[in-house]
Amino acid sequence: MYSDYLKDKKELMKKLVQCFTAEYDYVSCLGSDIKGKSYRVNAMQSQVNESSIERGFVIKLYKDKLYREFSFDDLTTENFAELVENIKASNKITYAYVPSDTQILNDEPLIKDFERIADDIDYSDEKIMDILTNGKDIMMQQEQIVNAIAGFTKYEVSKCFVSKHRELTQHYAYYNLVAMAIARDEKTMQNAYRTIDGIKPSELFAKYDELVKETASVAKMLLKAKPVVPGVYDVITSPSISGLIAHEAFGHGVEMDMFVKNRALAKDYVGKQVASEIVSMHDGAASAINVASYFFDDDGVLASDTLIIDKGILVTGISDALSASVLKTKPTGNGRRESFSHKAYTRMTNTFFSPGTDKLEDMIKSIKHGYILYDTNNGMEDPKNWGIQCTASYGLEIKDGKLTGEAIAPVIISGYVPDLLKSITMISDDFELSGSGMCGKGHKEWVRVSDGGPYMKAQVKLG
Amino acid sequence: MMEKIIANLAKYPQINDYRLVATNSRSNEIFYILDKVETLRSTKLEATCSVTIYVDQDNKRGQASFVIHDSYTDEQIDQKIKDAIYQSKFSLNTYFALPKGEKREFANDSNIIKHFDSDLVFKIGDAVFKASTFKDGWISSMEVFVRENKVHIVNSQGVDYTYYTNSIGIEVIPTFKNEKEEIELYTYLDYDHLDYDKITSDTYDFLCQAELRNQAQKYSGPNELPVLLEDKEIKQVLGNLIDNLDYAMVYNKMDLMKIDDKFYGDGDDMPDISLVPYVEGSISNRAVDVDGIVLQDTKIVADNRILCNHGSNQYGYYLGVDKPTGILPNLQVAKGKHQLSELCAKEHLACLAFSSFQFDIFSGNFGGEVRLAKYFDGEKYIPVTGLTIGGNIHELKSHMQFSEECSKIKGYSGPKACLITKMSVN
Repeated sequence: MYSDYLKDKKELMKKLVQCFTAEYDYVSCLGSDIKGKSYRVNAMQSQVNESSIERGFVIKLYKDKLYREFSFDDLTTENFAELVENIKASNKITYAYVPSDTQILNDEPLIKDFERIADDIDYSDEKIMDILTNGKDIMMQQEQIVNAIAGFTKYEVSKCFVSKHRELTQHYAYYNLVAMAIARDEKTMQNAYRTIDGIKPSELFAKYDELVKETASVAKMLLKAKPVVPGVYDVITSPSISGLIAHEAFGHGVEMDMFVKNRALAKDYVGKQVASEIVSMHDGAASAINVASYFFDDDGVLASDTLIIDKGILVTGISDALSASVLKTKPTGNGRRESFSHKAYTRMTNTFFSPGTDKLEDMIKSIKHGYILYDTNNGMEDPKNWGIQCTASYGLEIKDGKLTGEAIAPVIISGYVPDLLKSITMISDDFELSGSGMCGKGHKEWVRVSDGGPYMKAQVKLG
Repeated sequence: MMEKIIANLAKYPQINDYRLVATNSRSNEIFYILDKVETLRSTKLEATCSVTIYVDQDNKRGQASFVIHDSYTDEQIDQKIKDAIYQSKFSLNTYFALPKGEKREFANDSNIIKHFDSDLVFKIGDAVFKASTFKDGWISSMEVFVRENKVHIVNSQGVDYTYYTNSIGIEVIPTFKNEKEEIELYTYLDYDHLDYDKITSDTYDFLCQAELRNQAQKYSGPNELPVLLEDKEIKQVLGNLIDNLDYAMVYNKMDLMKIDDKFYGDGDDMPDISLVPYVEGSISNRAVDVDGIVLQDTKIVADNRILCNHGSNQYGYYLGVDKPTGILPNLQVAKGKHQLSELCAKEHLACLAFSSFQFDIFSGNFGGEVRLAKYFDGEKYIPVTGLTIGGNIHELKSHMQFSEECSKIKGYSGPKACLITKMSVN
């Protein structure tokens, strides 16, 4: 249910916007009320706690080519006058400065309420803890597993956006189910981590037994994994690694606030070939239903589905409202804040490669010596130079078109992004999204994203 | 707000203990595109308190945490408490006692507080741009964050501590141009004191690195050679090994080393390691941890032997530790035995900037993509880029040589550099 708190505050938010409308060219106010609850069970302990709680507001003002924001954590009739004074005081600038070439944000009239109904009423705390305890027990029953963690987190988001001409509210929920197994032998310790994410707990829990069994098996297998012999290999990226590449290798490079600062090489490649002809890539809060699927962004711009790469050609990037205003493009609904107390930047949402027509078994058969790479570990962007660093948790060896049962770990994928994307020769007809990750801008500003896609055959440098 | 919450908690006799943590914060922030100002931001947050209640049952201790906003009515607070009491039965774990304490306010000795006004972010911005004097380079993006936090921790056993943290954070991303392309490099500088000259000087040093990346060529040296890591990476490598000695890792059977083991394996003459609450200039400094344990310097490794574990009150109690160390924020490593010039005398690769240096706490694998390194071929340094390094700390820890020269960064004081005598480079 949409936040009662924000319902009560809407008139005050409108009054606050009204207070500054005469003096400023643009005024908006975003209110957030986010609730979360996390459940954790491991071999030694269990916990149920509130988590990811956020409640507060940010007002955005524009005049004299400068945007100003003030974040605060309560809005009441009693504190209203003091708040207005605080906002005014924070905007008194005596220091000489040169403003950048920003433009006034579009404020097209729209009044709408959005709702994606939460689907967790059948799951009491007891029921969730029972499922998790069972999942933990399944993992712990396997030899060499010394600890196992089963976790579930639910998030419920309510936001209200008010400007001179817009009044928007949204309410939605998403869920994250986790399994982690720690295996050890005399020499070493390894962990495997798997998640399922989405908007329907029933669908997530239905797959949990299979997930925990897989997780424990992978942890045990990693104890025997060998380091990869560095070199260039034919590989098949699993959906998780395809998503990592979509996100790190290319997604960050098409965040258009980077275009404004001339920080992204992609700016010069719009309309040009950047990937093989069988590759298409999307991003958007409306491009898929997963953890980053909302109705409007933190600038009050409606969500969209952006086709970034179409059959190998770079079509466009993604943008927040401010960057789009400078670039004179239409904002894509990708303006996101870590919380109401952080700035909005251009951020990814659900980022993925489109599925193709190949079958995974044919892709495996086509490889003389290479690997299937599994499970995102981490990655880092380099939008200016299109360098790539992505780490997969492990790879399974393919020789003469067959899996040998040998594993390698860890696996660092590196190289030059267009080389990697142009080397893609086969794409499977599978499609999976994973939303367990938090994405940073540089090394901060964390937001929840999903990414994924199909299996893809490519040639990459492994180390 | 705390008084209101405590009065409400008192209505529930089944609550055996509680802990409240209230954080008030304010910040001023500025965001530049090139050298022009795009956005000014301020925050003032003072209306939330994190509450943990402890409910004992059958010699076990249940607990549940929740957040109270200042806007809550007494009825809403009551409902939150009732929900938490119910939830605590799902967290019935081994009993532990909360730390006892007293009322005390730790002084705020940062000079930032004296300068905290709306002009400060502009002045810091100017100090950064003052360093941008390079013919082929400029700052394409910069963000400044000046923050002040007041943290108040109260528990039902007499803990009532207040401390302050102040910080200046500066994200700087310069671009340099050569005949073929433009390159950029990333850094985030942080300070617990205001010193404009130091900001200018640190920015200048970083811009010199970016200029070096502009001259860097693709690495084509050997695939195995000694690698020199800097303080940021030493902190991560040793810090992760020390993290493995946390009480929680022992309790959860995830510890790889035990007290009295050789921390560095067969390595000789290795530096001692402590965890400490205070390192000059570190924005991680804390007088007390989140449970209200007053923190003290704690030696973890001496003469290559592990002396003790460390960590939170709860897990320390579980292990029967008389006086848990609390969660200590800084790693302090003694100086090494080698002069930097000695470490750098032979062929090696000195890594200056990673895209994201990674360390797997379970397997001990570490490494990453190197954005900038200097390859010394025995005669001269060649700036290089586009390579990765990797290794396993459990195999390499006895092959580490630490510099006599020391540095201090966020969360670390110790050798400025460490040579790992044999690493994989690709």
